[in-house]
Amino acid sequence: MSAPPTPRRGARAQREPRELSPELGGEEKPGTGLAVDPPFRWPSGRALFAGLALLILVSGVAYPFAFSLVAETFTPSTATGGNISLGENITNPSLFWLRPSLIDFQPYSGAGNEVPYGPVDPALYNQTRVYIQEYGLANVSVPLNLVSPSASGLDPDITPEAALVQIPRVAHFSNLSQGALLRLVDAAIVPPEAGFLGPSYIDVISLDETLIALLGGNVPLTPTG
Amino acid sequence: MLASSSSLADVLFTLGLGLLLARWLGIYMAKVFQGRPTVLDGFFDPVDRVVYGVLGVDPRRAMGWKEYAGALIVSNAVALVFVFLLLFFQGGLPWNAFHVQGMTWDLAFHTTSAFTTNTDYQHYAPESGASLLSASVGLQMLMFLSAASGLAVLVAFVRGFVRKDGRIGNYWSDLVRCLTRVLFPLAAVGALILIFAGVPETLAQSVHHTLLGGGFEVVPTGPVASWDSIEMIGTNGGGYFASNAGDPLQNPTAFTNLVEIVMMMLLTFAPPFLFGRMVKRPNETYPHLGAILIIFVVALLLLFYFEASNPFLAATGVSQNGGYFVGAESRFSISESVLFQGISVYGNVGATSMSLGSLTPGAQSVLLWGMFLQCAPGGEGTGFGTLLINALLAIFVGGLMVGRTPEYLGKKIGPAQIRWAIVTLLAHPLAIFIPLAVASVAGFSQVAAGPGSHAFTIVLYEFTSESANNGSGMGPIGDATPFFNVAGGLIMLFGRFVPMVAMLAIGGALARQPDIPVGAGTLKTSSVTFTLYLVGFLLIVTGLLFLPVLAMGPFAQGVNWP
Repeated sequence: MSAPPTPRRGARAQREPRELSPELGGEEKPGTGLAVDPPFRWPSGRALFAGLALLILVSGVAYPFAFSLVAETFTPSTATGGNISLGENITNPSLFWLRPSLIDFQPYSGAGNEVPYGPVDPALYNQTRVYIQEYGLANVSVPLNLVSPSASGLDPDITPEAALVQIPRVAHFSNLSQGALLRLVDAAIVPPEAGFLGPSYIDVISLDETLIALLGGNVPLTPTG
Repeated sequence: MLASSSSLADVLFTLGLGLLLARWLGIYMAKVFQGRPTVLDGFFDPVDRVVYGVLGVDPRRAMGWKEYAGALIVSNAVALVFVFLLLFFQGGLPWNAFHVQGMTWDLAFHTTSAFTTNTDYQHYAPESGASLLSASVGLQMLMFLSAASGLAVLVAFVRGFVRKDGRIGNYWSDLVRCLTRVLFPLAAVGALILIFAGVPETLAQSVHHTLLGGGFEVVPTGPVASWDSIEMIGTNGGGYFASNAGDPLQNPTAFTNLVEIVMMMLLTFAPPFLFGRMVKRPNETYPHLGAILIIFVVALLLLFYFEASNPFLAATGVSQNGGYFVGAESRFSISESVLFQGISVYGNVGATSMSLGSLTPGAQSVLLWGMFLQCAPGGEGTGFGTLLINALLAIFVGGLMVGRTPEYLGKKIGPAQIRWAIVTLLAHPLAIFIPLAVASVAGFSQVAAGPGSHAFTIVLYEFTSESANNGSGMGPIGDATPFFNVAGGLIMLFGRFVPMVAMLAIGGALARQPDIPVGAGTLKTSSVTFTLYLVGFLLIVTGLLFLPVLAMGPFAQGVNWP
């Protein structure tokens, strides 16, 4: 085997890309249409183990380290994720409620993504009715959003309709007027990003935060007794 | 069907952006794997030389397909053994703030196979089942390696159409160039965008999250953005959290959802463009791209339709104006969640932003259909490889019917190619049906909850997802058992490496042939007719193989459809 020719580079190669570069698969041997397989070689141990070590260093260590450093330097407020709203168990009737959580809003349960019933399972039908009862909405048209479990079990958001339907209850227990609550809900609607990305939705955690402040603070999320 | 005109604008914008970037990427990648100059050579050429030096390989040594396949399998096996040991012994290793125990041997086998094969099926809960060391050094490393392996196999396969000396390239050169010039730059850009869009990225393993009700809770966190980036770009799909892209920390806003969808589209839709450029017939891109798009867009429309509402719930009196929200997140519209899920499953990424078990029977059928096809567009590299194999079969069958010589791009389709193509075609149903029969007869499928046809669908989905190297799961299913771990691990390895070897073998057989000049008997493949014929061929062959199990699973559930 003669010494491999240098790769063709530059304008000439670009104008005339007829053959693969010798660098990528080697020079074509004369005498095409071979009937026999080219010679076989096992990969060397050095290539295997040095390759693995190098990949571990770059993709397993340097890559997450470098970007953690970038995030902690340039976006310190969001680097840990502590700023992201997560659902909590809210049952106080004078506050707005979240969607039901199959993991009881426990972030470490590792059981997200598992709605335990299929699409035509009687359990789905029955559980939906149970949720409707629990939310005290048996006699109105309830948005499915409010009485359905989310994918993560940590969904902090509901649709605007799911907030509106709760206003009579919240008004009754908080002694605020329905009109005031309506304005509160309206102000809490998060519009689509850039006008078209995502639906309009309501972050219940921040809505309830405003509501609690309005009620003078010290409103427990889950009243006892 | 679609909730509003703004979500229609969103869907069209996302798809358009994804396709545009994929086209650019495909053309760039063709240059990379042909060794033609790119603007980044000044930086990457010295880097690559250092890597070749460390590895002690000669990137100019052309390999026959057997040597290429040998290097592929042995290097993947070495990584597999390493990560298996890492997971098995993680309890005693550092970077383990929460004292995660070592995995059992069967769970470690399943997890390692899942990440080696680009499947990323997770029988463990990522928050509590893997240490930061296992996740970064083990699983994330495999996400890069498996993505690079898939692309390397595709370019080697495609070289078979242009070379005439029986050699299909150098595995090390393809792998290294794929990593340095494609995957790392893309993953870096993706991670940066996600970081600035608010996805967490930290070496801390948990954060104290202030509660509205007072006090705080401990929430799992970590280098999520960098993981997310390679998860989507490399069509891996294993989540940093159990609920994957449904988790507010992994996919916090509609913008990050868009970014993640586009990242999934990059390497799944780039291969048709790479193919046309690499075989020096750019028009040959379009029959493949057209076939993929026809199937994919119809699938998306069906998904939008089926997820708009679940009539089974009508009698409860709930309003489904915003869509069928069971198992979906509120910060995404249903059409956005469905778009994510459609791309993730049809592109064999396997990331989930919804709970798949509660999808309507129609939507479940559509998702299963995508994994039966595996090639519309399919996982990066291997998905398009599967489409090419199907195209060879279609040309062979069609050529026989209309009396044309079975040839494609100047290469004869001979017995060797057809034999390997049939192996690929049959490997997928065999890898699904045999374990499915065993699980059903032996009663293992009873771990899945719900009525019979739903439980059957869940187990069918699991094995299909594993064989297609998809990785999404339809819970809940108690599948972290020795039976499902071992069967699943074997299915994934089989479903990955049998088709890969077949692709290399077909490439090798093609590369041994001289070019055949275009004659009167040549079937014109860059045409609308051929595109539609390819679509029909795919649908008929897949239907013949898989309609019976669809009937037993989701269709049977649909019988109860009100």
